[in-house]
Amino acid sequence: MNKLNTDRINEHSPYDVEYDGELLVFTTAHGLVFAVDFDEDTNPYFPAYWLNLRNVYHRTSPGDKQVAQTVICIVEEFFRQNNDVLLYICSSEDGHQAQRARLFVRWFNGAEQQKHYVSRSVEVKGEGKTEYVAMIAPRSRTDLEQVLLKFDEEIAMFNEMKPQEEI
Amino acid sequence: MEATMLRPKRTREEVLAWLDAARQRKAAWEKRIDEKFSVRAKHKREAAESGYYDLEWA
Repeated sequence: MNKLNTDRINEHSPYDVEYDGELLVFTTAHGLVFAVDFDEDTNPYFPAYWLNLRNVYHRTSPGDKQVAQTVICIVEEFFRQNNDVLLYICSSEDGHQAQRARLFVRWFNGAEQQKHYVSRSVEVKGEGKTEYVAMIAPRSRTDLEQVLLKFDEEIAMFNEMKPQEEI
Repeated sequence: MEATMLRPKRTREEVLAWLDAARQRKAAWEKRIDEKFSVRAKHKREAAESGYYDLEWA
């Protein structure tokens, strides 16, 4: 993965994003600390990365829109440097995975984001547990239709459901 | 990099195993981050309590 440029991120990010040698980190006006990282995916079809996002000290977030804006700036820099697909598996810590998946995709439903990305949020019902997975792909990919087809095909095996959000 | 779509379609079990592996890697990452920041917080606390406020642990 190509390294992200924090100067580019911070041109538009409401919170200052720093690279600590391992992770991207930012602190909100309410003192919450978020860590962000990317982990290479192993699917056999297309290059992709999982986005990892952590509210480090698990403090309650007061509905701060600038957190979303900061994460969007980081993801936009990811796509500037890497024309790959981004995946997000929601944390299952408190049973709010479905809300997290919808929220995550809503962040990328803004008019400006829709011009550049296609996003999906899906529910995968496995044996005894349900996972919520979101996907974002840049529209600039020449194989975008194939990527979406492959993703939707595999999800359809589980619950015969269509993606919850489609842009 | 573009896609390699000609690979055979994965089975339901393979997709579940893929998601399970992603879930496990995410959990391991979260644990590592929690430990890392817990150590940072401890060092900051110790620095503050020691009176050496100019110590920088970040």
